[in-house]
Amino acid sequence: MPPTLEYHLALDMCATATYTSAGRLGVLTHSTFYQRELAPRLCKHPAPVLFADTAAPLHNCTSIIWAEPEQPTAASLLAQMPPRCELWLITANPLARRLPEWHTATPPATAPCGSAMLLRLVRHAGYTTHCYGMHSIASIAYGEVGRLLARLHRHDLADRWAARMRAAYLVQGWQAHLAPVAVLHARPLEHTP
Amino acid sequence: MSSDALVPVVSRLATWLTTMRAPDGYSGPVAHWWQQCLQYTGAGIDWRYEGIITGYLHLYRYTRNPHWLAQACRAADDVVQAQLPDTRLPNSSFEQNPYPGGTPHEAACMLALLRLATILHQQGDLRWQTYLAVAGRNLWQHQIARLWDERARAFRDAPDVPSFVPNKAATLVQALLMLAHLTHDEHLITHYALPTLDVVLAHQVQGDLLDGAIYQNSFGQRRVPKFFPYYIARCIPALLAGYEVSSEPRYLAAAQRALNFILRWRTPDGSLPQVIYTSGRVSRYPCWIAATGDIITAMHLLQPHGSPADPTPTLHWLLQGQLPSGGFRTAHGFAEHITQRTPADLPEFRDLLPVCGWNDKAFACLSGLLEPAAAQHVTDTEPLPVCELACQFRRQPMVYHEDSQQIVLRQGQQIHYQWQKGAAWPSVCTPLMYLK
Repeated sequence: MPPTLEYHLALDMCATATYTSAGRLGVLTHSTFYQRELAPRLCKHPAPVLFADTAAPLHNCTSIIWAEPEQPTAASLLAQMPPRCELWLITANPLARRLPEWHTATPPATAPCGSAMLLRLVRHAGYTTHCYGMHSIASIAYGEVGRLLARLHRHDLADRWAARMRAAYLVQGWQAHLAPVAVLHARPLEHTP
Repeated sequence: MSSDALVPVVSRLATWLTTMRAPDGYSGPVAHWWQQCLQYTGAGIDWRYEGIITGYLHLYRYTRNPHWLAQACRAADDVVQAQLPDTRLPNSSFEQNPYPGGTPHEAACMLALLRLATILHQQGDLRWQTYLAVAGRNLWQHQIARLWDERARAFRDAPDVPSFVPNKAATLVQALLMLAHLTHDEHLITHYALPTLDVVLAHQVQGDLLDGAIYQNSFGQRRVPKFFPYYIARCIPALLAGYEVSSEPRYLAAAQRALNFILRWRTPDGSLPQVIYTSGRVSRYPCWIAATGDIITAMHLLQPHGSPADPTPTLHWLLQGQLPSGGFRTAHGFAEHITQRTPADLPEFRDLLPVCGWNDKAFACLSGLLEPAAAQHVTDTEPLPVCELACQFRRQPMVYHEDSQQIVLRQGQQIHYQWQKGAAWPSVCTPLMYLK
């Protein structure tokens, strides 16, 4: 079964963004959920892909998907990232707790940083960042309106609001911190064009 | 429309299909009513194979040209080589890709393999056994073992949810009837196929404005009050197949009433609304174009049974949707999915985007309409011009570009989307393109 759209979109974004990256791609994760989701997405990447649960094996990677930084170890792992390496970080915000992925025996993370904390850490480590949120407050509201309309037997309007919800799914900037799942794109400052 | 006039249309489409091949199958982004799949663009082992293989088999049957049989076998081999140890297919979820276990996609693939196996068997070509074995494994070990609900006497849409989707179950019934024919297994007909068709019949509306319509789906006893003419048309071949094996007139009558419902909602331009609701309200947009191939096929299937349906308006609607690049447009009116207002002249990107899993419906339909003499002139090596068309996306004017190597959406100098044909992911996909 596909994951919820929040994770589906976040995973697709990381796979798309790294597809044409030159050099070796690393995946830093110790979550079975992310391993299971990312492996089939990355199996056709032209560049070699290396999965690891510590930073050391990824020393010669030029791009790393990190899913997902945990509060106790994020800062120290960030310090071990190879220089000149572009990072794509997936993190859960508080609203992610309502997603089914978090109600299984193996949730995506145990103590996720969240996008706000992660943004501070990454900027402090000398990266420029861009933050994307999956399922904005607006799209959550549109989805709720759609469900309400369906309960009122206005399935025609419910379908339109569902389409509106999907069109507003991705947000950037501060709104990303309110989304259940966020993706941070981090580039080392001195190499940002 | 004369058969000769269809030759260049089918040739361009067959050529376009060859441009969409990745090493492991037919690839490309997907635009759909339910969800978009613009990110994963690798091979999808889904219902696109039903129409692709069927179309090649039509061409082979009419011409006996071994090239078309080879094309059908190459497509079938994509499915064979992709089959997972648990018998499912990877990336079989179409608009939800990349995931296995897609419905009705895996059943549609198996139906295509069995159509091919039938022809190979008739010719004494031993490859039929491979295709039969692959289809048999999926149908028995996945579809029947995991989706059959003995209490409901029908196939579920998901193993853990008491759900039923008539059009998906109908595709599975078609595959099971074909498997029963090849393996002489009457039990498949009596225990699985016909009881499932009876549940489809129970989802058909009797009387009133919606007479003949088939509910889109149900959860337990709760029916979802939506009626998609396209999906209702996809029930018709299975109902006819059920009638042919059982001689039970209720299946034929249901198919005829389903088509009558579709015809009542057809507009003079030949198009069909996307959804009709119990109140009689309609969500017209996006109106399918390439997919109407399945609706035309359903009309033709019913003609020998006395149906007066004239497919011509819908055929014209389909044919006006062929792009210079050879593929057919997906739809009309994606930009108004939310508002349901009459679309502006400028098509939306997803309207133009030709999708393998919709074009296969056009391919199967149009190749089936050819006269054998005309089919001799079909090729899949037509020179295809570069296609540059003005379009819009999120209300912004853009340009759609397609050639044999790539599909590009750009706004001025900025490229928003670029997919190299055959690649598993697009090389450019700006945040604007992240709508699901």
